[in-house]
Amino acid sequence: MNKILILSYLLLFIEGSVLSQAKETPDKCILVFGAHADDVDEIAGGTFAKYIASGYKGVYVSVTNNLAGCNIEKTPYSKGPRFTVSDSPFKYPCDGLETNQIRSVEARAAAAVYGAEIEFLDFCEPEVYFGRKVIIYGTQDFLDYNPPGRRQINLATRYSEDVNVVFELLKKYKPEIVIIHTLGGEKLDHEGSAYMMYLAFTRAIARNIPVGKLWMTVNGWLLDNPAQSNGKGKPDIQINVRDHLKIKYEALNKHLSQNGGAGREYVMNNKTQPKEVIEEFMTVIDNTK
Amino acid sequence: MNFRIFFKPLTSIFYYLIFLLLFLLNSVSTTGQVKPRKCILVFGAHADDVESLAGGTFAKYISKGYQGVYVCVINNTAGCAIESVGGGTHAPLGKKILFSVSNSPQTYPVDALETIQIRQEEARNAANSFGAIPEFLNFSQPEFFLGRRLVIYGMKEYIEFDPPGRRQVTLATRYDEDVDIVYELLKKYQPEIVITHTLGGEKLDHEGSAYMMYLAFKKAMDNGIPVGKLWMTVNGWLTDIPASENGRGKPDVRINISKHLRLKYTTLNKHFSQNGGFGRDYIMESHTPVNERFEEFITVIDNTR
Repeated sequence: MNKILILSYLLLFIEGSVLSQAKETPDKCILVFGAHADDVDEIAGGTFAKYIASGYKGVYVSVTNNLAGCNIEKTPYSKGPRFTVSDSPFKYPCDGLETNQIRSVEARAAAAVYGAEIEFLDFCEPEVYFGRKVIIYGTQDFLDYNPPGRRQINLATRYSEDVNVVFELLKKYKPEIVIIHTLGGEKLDHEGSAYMMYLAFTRAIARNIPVGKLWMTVNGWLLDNPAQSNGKGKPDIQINVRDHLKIKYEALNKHLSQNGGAGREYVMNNKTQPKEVIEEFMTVIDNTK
Repeated sequence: MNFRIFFKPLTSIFYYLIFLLLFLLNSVSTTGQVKPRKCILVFGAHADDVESLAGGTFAKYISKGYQGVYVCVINNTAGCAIESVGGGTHAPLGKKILFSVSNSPQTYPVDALETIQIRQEEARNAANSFGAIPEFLNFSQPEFFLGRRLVIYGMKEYIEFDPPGRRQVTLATRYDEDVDIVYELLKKYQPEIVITHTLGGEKLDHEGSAYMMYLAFKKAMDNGIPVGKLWMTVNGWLTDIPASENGRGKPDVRINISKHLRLKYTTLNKHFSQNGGFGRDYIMESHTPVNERFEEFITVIDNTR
């Protein structure tokens, strides 16, 4: 009789622990997966601020190593102010290592505005300036320059060890909400970062890591006529960020090398989130149902 | 009399100018209304992708009198194997993969230059069976085997081996001169229908090729090149539950290819190095089509409206 009771308890215990494992829910955490140092603010700065204000942990991710994008004399944004010392009307690209350093410092300052943790994944950007010469990934010059960083982000989506870098991030934070760039909708680094997260997210689900929802911005072919008229390009998530715009732009303005402190103008010009007070997304995966 | 002599040349000049104006107006309006040609272009990343993407649709349109353009975007430096087929196909029960000499159960990769050559020949044969024109764009595949060692784009060994080909296709989407290669192809054929892989839905070469075509197609439209419709297959995130439920992943183009399945599989079997002649098994195990009699697509751009 005792043996039967012990076995019953044991069975109940095992069943209970299995059930509790199956019921594990994601942490109250929002992770925004920006390809470049200033992308978090652009794709979802208001939403990020809003969730953090309501008690969520924020994780601010810069996927690439930001080897390019800084200039001497002027910001890359054409309407941005000049930093000029010489009064030259031209822009001169900064070298790779300086750019990496400047943009990392700016990203840290922006993450601090939100009160978020920062993660640099250091996947390689596909090009770097060496003086006035652009050096492209895959060339002998790039190999000789040997900038610090992992494989170029799009190429990296092909290799399990690289996808695991992002998988480990999801395992560490177990985020309820993850926001990415548009899948298939945008330029190289954005698309590569988005697809990398998609692969890691589906891997996390397959391995029972409690992750919640994967949202993406609406861009590229989803903004073209067919997708707009047949509803495929219609976002299903709308977040009112009116009360959080101040923080969004304060954070964005920390990327002085990119927007010269004219963050709002810069982001509105890019039309990343054109409605400004409403940030919009599409649900790619919902693991909470 | 003198009056008439004076006005006759002027009247002729007047009529001449009217004719000239009408001619110019007519050609401008014709240019504005130039339609795409009866041409279908399937933009497959690898040598055997045209068939798995849209083999039946391609055969159907060609049978209706459309010119077929069979595009192989990358240079196919990888994907062939010794002793077994490169695609990893298993022979159906009771059948045997045909090219084992030693009967080894292992697969050994073939080197890059041989793979390029084998896969190009197979693609030419397949295009020929469709009665289509093959186009090889030679963007680099991101890897190849050197003996048993995998060499990846950007590595020292890759640069030293220096395989023939342009920039890796995903990287190439960033540079105008590379997008222009595809733009020139559209300018040359002015296709009514173009079919690509899924945007954002798939592995590296597929995604890169799809995005490259998307960029070139838009550039063609901006420059007044008469291109028609851009369709893509439905894959990746578009087949996940949210997109399936909310209609985002629902195809809007459905082609009945029942009468063209035979040709689809005949051409697929030309890629012997990939499927060992078991094309249908290969395609049915790599995808799970609801119904092989239909090929389905999503309209990305419709420039005919």
